[in-house]
Amino acid sequence: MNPLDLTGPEFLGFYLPYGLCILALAWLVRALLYRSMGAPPDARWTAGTYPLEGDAYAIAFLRGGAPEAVRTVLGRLVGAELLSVKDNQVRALGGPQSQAAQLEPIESTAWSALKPEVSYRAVEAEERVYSATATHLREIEEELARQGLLPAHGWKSVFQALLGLTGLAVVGLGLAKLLVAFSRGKSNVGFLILLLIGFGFAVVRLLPVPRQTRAGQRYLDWLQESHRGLFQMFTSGHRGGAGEMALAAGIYGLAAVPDLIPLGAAFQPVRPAQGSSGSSSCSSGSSCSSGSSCSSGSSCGGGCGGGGCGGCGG
Amino acid sequence: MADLPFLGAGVSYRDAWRWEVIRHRDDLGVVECIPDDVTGAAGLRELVLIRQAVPVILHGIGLSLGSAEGLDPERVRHVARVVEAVEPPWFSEHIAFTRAGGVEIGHLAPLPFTREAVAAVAANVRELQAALTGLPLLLENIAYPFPLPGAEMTEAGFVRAILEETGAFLLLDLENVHANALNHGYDPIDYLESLPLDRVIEIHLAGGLWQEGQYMDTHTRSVPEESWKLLEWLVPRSDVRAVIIERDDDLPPFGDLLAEVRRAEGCLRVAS
Amino acid sequence: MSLRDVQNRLAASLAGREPAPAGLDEGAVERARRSLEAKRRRAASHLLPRLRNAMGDGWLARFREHAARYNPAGLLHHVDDAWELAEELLRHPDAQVACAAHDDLVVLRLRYERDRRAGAERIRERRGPIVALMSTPARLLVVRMPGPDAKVWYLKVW
Repeated sequence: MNPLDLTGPEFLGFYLPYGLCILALAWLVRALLYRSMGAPPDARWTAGTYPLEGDAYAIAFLRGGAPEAVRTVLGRLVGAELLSVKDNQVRALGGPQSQAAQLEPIESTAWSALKPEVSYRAVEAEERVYSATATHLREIEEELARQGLLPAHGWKSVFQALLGLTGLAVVGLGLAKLLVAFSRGKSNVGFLILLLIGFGFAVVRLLPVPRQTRAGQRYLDWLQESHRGLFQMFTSGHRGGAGEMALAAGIYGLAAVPDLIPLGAAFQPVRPAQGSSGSSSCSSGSSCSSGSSCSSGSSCGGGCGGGGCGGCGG
Repeated sequence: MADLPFLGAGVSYRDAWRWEVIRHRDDLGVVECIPDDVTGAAGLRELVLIRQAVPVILHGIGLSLGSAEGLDPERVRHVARVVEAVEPPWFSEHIAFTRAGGVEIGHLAPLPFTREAVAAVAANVRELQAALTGLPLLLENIAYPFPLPGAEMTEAGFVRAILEETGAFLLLDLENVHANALNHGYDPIDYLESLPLDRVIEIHLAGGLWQEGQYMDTHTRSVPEESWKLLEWLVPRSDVRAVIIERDDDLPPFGDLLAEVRRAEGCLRVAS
Repeated sequence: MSLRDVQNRLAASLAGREPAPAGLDEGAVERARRSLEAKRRRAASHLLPRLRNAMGDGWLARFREHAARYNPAGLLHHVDDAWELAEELLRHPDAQVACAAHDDLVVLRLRYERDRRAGAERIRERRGPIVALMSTPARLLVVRMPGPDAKVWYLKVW
């Protein structure tokens, strides 16, 4: 039986369950592949081991790839007052030698990529820093892959192949039928087009090439949960050190740090940072988890001392 | 007792210091959390996250171990849940009562120094120990603005009798000793010498203030020199495993608390 | 007097319902009672910030009235205390106060549920969904999804 020879209603009756089965099968295969991907990482990169400030760039890379790592480095330089941001323009500031000497190698390389006292468009600055720090970024990527947090290159190809084959099998068949219908002068193809759009969307949403391995996703989830206090420190107006800014930016994105919002906005429209802001009210349309953490309730001792009656001030 | 770990000096946890505790995890030996303040799965999760950075001990404030009417099963269950999630090396509560006759006092009220009170505490402690499946228990002395009439023994004798009856260890709040000594006119060293110092596992330090002629243990000030002197006297005579700096309100910069933690750590090191 | 009687009498006097038991320093008990009331009031202020603001100088006296009448209960008795007060003030003749009480109650309900039945856990963590309107700090539609640590959405409405 050639499905392309089926009449319209017959084809739809075949195509819908066919597409759903293929999608379900592909999703299952993807899930199995995802589970088996990557060896267990070292203790340093697992949930429960708090990172050092210097891990900010690796974390940013894990979360959003090289662009996020580069932006986090730029954020660190802004925090160290070695870079200024104004009206989407980034400018490297001279800075004392003592400050430059304290920079990590990737930070120093990034800073050196920008001529002092010259204003660059943010995107141009990002490109220059990206080129200059390519070696550092590659080392980060390799280390994360070695640790099983990022898929090794071969795995990406496997997921891409799965995505491509599923797309071909589902959307490709539908497109072929559409072409056959047009070639036969049929124009009542509305339902088929709707199905094509639906299946196309489903293929892309259900079978994305994973950015991180399962271990990498777990580690990121734990980082975002365990550093909620850091996130709240910044969102409640405290400034923090440059290293903490970089760590917060690495975990949640530049928008997590008020001082770095202009930098983030220079690259793209401002989005709410990934992460929860506890139970305080949020901007319209944003979501916040109700974060019921330890509260300093007024109970005995918690409010005013472990003494007896009258242990509290009036 | 040899099984109880040495933790060093730390602070009582406050939500406002959520990041500070993580940030200074290498400077803190321990953090003390109040299970009564933990609500829901997210609250438990938060404690576990803190424990991943710093050892956590739990300090209850609402079990009312001195209640003649017995323990509230809901509170015992809640504490047991938190203990199970956090797995602390010990659990502590107070030699006091916090509710009676349907009235929630909202603070720690003193017990009369009587044999009946010793028996009531002992019965409640046994019930708690069963619920916590043998976790070592520490009992804390409280500051009291007035003694209750009908005392059959001294305060130190009362504490000693409870520890002997229950097998529990002592969480010695030196600021409470300081406050009681000031308010009731006795020598704090005489008081300490009457206690079974070999049962002291943990110390609390805090600062209070004078109000209406009484020294109140408010936990709103730095630790006074008198309490530091008591610590220096006590540590060589006991086997203290943890010292907690308590601060409940008028929170200072965290660095100020760290300075007190470092000083406490120094006292512990000198003695070892 | 048995220990139970002593404790019942002392607790009642600290709650302002009875005079101090015999043999106790009445002045000291009264000081302690005031301190405990202040502690309850501070806890309620943290939980009911809008109401505290809306009532201004009247907060102290109104809380004193409430404290004399109401016995909070349960593990989260400070939440129960604040909740009861806010419910009392929902019908306050001053619209600003009533509105503040409503909004503070919405915030409490986002996190907790209250059950006044005898024997029930008085205050427990909320699991169910909520949809509510608030007026402060802006006119907001609040939506809480089901689940113990659920997302809460604050949507500006006009």
